[in-house]
Amino acid sequence: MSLFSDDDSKVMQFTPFTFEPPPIDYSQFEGVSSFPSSTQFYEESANSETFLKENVLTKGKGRQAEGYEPNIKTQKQIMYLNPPLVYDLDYWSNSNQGTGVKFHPTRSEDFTCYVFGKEPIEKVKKEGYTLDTRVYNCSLANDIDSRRVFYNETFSIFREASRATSSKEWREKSSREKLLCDISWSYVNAIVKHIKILQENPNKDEHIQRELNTFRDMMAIWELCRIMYFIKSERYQRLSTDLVTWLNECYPMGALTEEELNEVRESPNLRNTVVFWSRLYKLILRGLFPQAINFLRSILIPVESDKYINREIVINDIIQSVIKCIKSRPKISSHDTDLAWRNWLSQCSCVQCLTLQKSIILENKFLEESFVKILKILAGDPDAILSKSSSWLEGLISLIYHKYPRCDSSDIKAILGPIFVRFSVYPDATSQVLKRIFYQRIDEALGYCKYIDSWLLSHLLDLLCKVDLDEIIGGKSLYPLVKESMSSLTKIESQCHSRERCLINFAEPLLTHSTLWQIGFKYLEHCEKYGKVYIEEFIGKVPFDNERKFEKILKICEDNGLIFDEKCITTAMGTKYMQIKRYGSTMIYYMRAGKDENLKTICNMFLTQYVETGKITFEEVIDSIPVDKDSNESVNFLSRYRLYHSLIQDEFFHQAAQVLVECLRSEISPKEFWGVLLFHTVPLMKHGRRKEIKLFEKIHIDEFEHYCTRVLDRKIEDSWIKLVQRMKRWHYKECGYFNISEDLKPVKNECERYKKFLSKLKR
Amino acid sequence: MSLEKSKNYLHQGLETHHEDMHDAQLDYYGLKLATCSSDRTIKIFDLDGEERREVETLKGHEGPVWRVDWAHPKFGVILASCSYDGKVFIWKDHGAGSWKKIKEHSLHTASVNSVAWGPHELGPILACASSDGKVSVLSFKDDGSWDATVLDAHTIGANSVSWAPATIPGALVQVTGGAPNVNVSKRFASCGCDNLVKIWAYGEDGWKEEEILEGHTDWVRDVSWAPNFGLPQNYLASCSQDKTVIVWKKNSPTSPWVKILLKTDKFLDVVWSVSWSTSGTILAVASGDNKVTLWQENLKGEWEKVQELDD
Repeated sequence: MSLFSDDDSKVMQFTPFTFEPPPIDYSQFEGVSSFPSSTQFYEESANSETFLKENVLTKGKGRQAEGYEPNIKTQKQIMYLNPPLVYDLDYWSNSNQGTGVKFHPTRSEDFTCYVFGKEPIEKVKKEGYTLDTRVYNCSLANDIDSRRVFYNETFSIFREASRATSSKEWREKSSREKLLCDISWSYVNAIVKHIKILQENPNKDEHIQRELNTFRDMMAIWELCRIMYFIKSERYQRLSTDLVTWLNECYPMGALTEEELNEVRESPNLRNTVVFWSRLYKLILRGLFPQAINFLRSILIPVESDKYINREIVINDIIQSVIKCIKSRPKISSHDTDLAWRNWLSQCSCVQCLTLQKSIILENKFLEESFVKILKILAGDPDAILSKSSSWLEGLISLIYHKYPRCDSSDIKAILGPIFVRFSVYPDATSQVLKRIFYQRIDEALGYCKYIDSWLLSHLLDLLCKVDLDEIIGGKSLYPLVKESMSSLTKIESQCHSRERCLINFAEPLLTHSTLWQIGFKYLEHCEKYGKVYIEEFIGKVPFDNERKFEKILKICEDNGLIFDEKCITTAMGTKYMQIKRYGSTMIYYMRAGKDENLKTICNMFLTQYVETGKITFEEVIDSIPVDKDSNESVNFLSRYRLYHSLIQDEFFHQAAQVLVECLRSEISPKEFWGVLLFHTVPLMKHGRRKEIKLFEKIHIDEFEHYCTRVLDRKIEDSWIKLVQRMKRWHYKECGYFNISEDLKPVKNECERYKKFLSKLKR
Repeated sequence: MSLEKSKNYLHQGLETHHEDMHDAQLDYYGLKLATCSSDRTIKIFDLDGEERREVETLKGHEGPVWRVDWAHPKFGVILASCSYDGKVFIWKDHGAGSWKKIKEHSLHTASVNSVAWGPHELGPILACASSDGKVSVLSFKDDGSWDATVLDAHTIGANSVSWAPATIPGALVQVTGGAPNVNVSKRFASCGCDNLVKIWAYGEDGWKEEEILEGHTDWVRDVSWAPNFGLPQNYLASCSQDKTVIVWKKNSPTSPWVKILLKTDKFLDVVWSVSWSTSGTILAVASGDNKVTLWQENLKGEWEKVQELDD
């Protein structure tokens, strides 16, 4: 059964993002794009042209779209469980079916769906359909795996950025700006690199396309922020150039449609072709002058003799004058820009006059208007610029480039007014973000970023929090981006609060990822206020299938002072080994976790096994555990008891006797087991008497008698009796040792005899 | 936010029982799945990426099994189940898939509808809700013994229980210095056929009814306490036969619970279950018209639907 209906009409698709720019060569980002030859130019990707035709950033002329909230519902998809949806309320109400939902225990964006029976089978009649008894895992998260390399790389940049703020360079304004731009560049490079990886992916499914669009949006937004907010001081002279470069790189013109191409190909004279001129306008608007000059040169018609003033010569003259105008456009960054700019504008006016004077000769209104339009655009005429622009972005940046080439980022707000009289902004999140960046309403822009990608929001906000926002955007704070931001917080507190919440939101899905989990926790470590509580909550949820991973998890606990969690995780590891009966490892982890009760239970289990069978089954286990005097009492006893048995086996009776006495004296063994230790004294005492070796002192014998009394205490009588009964089974019958009894008579008798032996020795 | 259609994200359904299934529960790490059914069995599956393997079928209940819940792994691989037969069983995996029933709780006199393990900071502690109107709390001790407290909770019947996070709301560090009983909250919520949600708290005199939340006009089917990550607020969601979902919000430990309707108009059918995401920011609601909707609180404190899954 497919989860999705075969009928695609039932599946609500993602809103398609129609802008499809060609691959970006970011190596050319600093300069003007290289000039394509006419043929190449015409044969560029047809998809790109759709940008100009159906630009997402524009929708014809009209009122500005204000206050739009992104419609998340448009991104809905419907999942069909079995049986397929029959939207009949009675059907569902009266059937025994309901849908259940449970969020994943460790991943915030994953959940489980299933169809459940509302009533027990005893209460319902068999329904006439096949019940779905499947469980479905669903996810709202992005595909982390395909972004693994990107996340790894950008985490390094993030870490560098964090370190940079405490560096010496950061304190100085000029070097801080350079550092900031470098960091921003590194992020953009990482985005571009990932775009390339996505483009090289042979699989061009919907998911890859969506990722590509997201990353292109992220690049456009990040770069615009860099240009608008991070580059300051004297580099502002270049704002208009930077913006036009940004436009050409992020939203390139694209290619002509097939229809337009045919029009160009079939035209007998390009000078009279509308497509040619509209293309030329775009090149001029976007400051793509080398290409524009080539275009103009392509309509120069060689004239054999210039003796007679004819129409072609006049047109050629005008073209040459326009080319001259374009070529002589002053560089904005030069020192004498103001004067040069004024001179150049008057040169444009002259050429315009010349064109109009020669219009009688031209006898071609279309040509005349076209030349005048180009000169008007060059001279920064707002009407000419906006009438030939296809989108608000193109209009705005062309206006800045031609009319306000020396403007500052804070001046742009004033320019936006006429733009939005002519153009409306598409309501998609990216357009809204770009618009707000120009308005310098970064808080609102970031608010829309959350609809694009959590990586973008968290990393951009993090970087913005590192700069002096007062200086950049005049006292605007990034408050409030998250619901927990409260009015009682100061602006700085609120910013930190928003930054941390966004970083946590981004890092959360990484925490349980098989390879990126450590990076996830490192992000949390950079959240001073709220990070720790998240680390604490999630660290225990990281599944560990090997000891290496387990140690890494513990290291995170240790680094963050999470003692209780460290103990919980270590206990879980111990319990895991306990389940597979690897007692050595179990005891090591329980010892680390300080689980004394659990250790006691395991040790008692071994002692019980001895009592039941007479066999020491814990030799290997106890040998694998590092035991010292500070170790847990039960483990310590088990270790001493194992030593006693090995000494007996090796016939080191004297040492064995000493260990036995120590074991009794320290009282670290279970009370029930004291009697067993006392039984062990009997053969040693006998051996001493027989070989006339003094294995015990008089004081030891007195102690043995004392312990006999305590063992026979009422409180432990019952358990003692049971123990002896179990031990009797093998002690006498199977092994042929002395006959033990509940009243410890053999011990008491041997003590008497040993005392006499000691007196005899003394004499 | 978007629901991925990709194969990686929306797994093919896992075939489970031959009769009505009543619950599906992932373990603490999300690596094991337990399902229970009217066929009186519980099935355990190992999940490894897209691979799922049925590893065990637990039999023992004498009626349909309503709910299952996994204990924290530090207590072992332990599962609690409750059934129409009025019993609660505790099952343990002793290794290599050797599951055994280790405890049986049969103090209830009618169907036990819900079981929930408490936060691990409180030790192994289990709450159960029964159609006999009572809620019981079982505390397991290290020596293998256990205590049971049975509380009169909801007339006609108790439907569900949900534990509060062990963290005191607003505490940025949950449990300090390895002392699990200091600075922790020991509370749970129950709901029932008396249309009420009740908050139970453990104090010097044992378990006491702390608060009664009135808001629903019909049986309350499910209740879910939101995880808390250092925020001062406490959130609790309840859903009901009256086709509404209420989010109960407590802004500080001393302030009262404030009732917020998830949406002003009613759902189209009875709302059966509510579940919070791990970070407590998204609420999933499953209603009787076989729809699952996901909700998030906006900056204005209103709840807005962010996703909808149909049948």
